Amino acid sequence: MKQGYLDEQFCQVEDLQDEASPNFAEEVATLFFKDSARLISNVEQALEKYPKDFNRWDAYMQQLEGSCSSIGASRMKSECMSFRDYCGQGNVEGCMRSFHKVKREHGALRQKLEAYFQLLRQAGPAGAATRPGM
Amino acid sequence: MASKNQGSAPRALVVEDIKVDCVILMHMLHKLNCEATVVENGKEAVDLFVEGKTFDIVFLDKDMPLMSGPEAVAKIRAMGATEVKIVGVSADFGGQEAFMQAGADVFVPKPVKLETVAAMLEVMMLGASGEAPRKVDHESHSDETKSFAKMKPPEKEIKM
Repeated sequence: MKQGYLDEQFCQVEDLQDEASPNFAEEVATLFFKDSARLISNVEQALEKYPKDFNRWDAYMQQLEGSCSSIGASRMKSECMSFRDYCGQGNVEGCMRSFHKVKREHGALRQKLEAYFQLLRQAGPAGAATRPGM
Repeated sequence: MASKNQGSAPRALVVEDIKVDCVILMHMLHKLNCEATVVENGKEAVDLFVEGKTFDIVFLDKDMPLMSGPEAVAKIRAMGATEVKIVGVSADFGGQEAFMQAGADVFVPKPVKLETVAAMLEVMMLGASGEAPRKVDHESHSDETKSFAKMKPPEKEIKM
């Protein structure tokens, strides 16, 4: 969170963990990456198949933004919002640039979270009390 | 259509097509001792009501395939389901007007917080039973919950 990849919402997801669901945050993260890969693919296909269809592009990106918001993926969400701003402006180049940033942030977040959960597994239950900066 | 469910676990319906959002909300509802059912779009939600299923509270996302949240809300209300509490949920703040015009009781922006859901259930249970609600684990009532208690859908009064 110190690096801005995740915000307070991620803490909320972690706080939902309990004895019955000790790995809930990791499960949600896994699901997020599966879902977001699909949503990114939807946007990519829309950019290709529906040139300048800003409403369609915006609609697809809105879904991804919502998903980012739910897990606390703040940097990725910010890029989604940037993309949607460019859609509103009718700026194709801006949309393409920000879409590349969305994909880049997606990849970076995946790496960070994979490393984070691996650290947690290594640390065991005691390590769960202290969240590594992200 | 009876929807009051006094004395037993609240029955919640989650209408959400984004898996992450669905899983998080379902987990919150299970933690709050709700019986939660999930469907992926507004049409499936309406179909449940057509089949005679009853719920105490419904959480609907706004943008979904086949039928949107507001559209489903309008159809559910048109079927006479006036007692069920309906919560519109969306990352799009512009969805509030659409949900409220359709007949939702309250709009909650994403991401939904556990304390918000807990407080809504508490208010809802108080209204259903007339008794003090079971203790739920939350810190405080959020602004959305205060709105939930006071909010009136168009031309209707909520008895809480």
